[in-house]
Amino acid sequence: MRSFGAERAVPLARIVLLCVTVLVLHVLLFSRFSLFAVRPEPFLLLTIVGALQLGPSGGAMLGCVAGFSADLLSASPLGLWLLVCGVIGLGVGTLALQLATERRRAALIASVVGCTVLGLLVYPALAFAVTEQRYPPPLRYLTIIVFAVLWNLLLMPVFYAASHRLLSAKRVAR
Amino acid sequence: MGSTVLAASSSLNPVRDRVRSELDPVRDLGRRLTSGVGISLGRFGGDTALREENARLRRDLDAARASSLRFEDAIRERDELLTLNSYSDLVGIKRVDGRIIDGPITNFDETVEIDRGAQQGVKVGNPVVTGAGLLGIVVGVGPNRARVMPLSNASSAVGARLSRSGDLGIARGVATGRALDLDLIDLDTKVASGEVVVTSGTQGSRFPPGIPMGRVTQVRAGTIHQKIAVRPSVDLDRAVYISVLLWAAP
Repeated sequence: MRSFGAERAVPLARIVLLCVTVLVLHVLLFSRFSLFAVRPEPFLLLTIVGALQLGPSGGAMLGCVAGFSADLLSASPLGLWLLVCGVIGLGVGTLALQLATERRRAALIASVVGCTVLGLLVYPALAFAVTEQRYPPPLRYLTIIVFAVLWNLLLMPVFYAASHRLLSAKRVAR
Repeated sequence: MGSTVLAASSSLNPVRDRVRSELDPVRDLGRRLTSGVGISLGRFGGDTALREENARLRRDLDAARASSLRFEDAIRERDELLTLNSYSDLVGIKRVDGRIIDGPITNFDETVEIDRGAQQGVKVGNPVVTGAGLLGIVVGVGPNRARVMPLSNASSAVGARLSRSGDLGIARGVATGRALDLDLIDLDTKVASGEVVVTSGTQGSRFPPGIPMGRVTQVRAGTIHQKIAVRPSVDLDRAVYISVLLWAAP
């Protein structure tokens, strides 16, 4: 059974370029997409779809750069999103090596849903631990999670295609 | 561990502020692009002319409401003021008028952006008010913009005073759009629904005294103190015009 994504070596500059593009797009456009005052989580989405294609080390690298980009826009201390996205990139990349190619679409959807939820659960917990920032009220928190997942599912095809195109590089011989 | 992380990350805050400043033109472009869209993409979309008109009307209404709130508070304060020559209120405090131009960028960020910044004298920690009362505090400053954390933000805590009894407490934010929790009010203090809450301005406070914060909406007895809910006087979804008080805690 072939794997979903094999380990790939991608120049850091290309990852940075992709993240800067998403940063600008988020400021320009995505942050204005608002359903019930919930916006997409493009950096989480980029980490997930990129890590599926890059494998664990590339996924972790992409996650760290994407997370740092998210940190630049957030109000919480720098490094929280970096940590969350870095770990998710590593996890999704590792998982991708075990996934069957025939179920690519299902794996992609499951990864986006699961890891977006995971990221949105872990990030406020970290923020609470570091800054004692309080959680949003339960209903608001649930709304954020549900609609952020929906936004990310909606944007998933575009992000997957773009990251596939920009991150395509020679596979590392295994 | 938390303090170590905070110290390490805060050293990079200038980088973050710089990046945000560099992205300001992109945000402006995004706002212009989406302002003409027929369907609202949030509170900052929609018809510009209509929003302007609504904003002006709301400002007038807010000013009228604030006058009412201040009047109630003034009744109780009058006797005190007769003996306190050193009373300081908003008169005499320099202010910079501006507008709220944008909302939060991310889901867990509840700050709003205003069109005044360091070049106009705005500094981190300056209080921000609207015609209706206290909006929040400046938490980030760029050359021509600043980010304001609203009173209702979960990280916000402001020294507060009940207008009738004069009891002091702490008004803590819960979440944007939610009532504030007013703590530290003794069980034997009589608190009525609708009572006005203003900033206490006690020593070391980040806010001048007497700025209306909201009205009491619910009072419950706790074990040590009363549990009081205060509805903020400023409706963040509708606020447009603001004033930054160039005031620093003494």
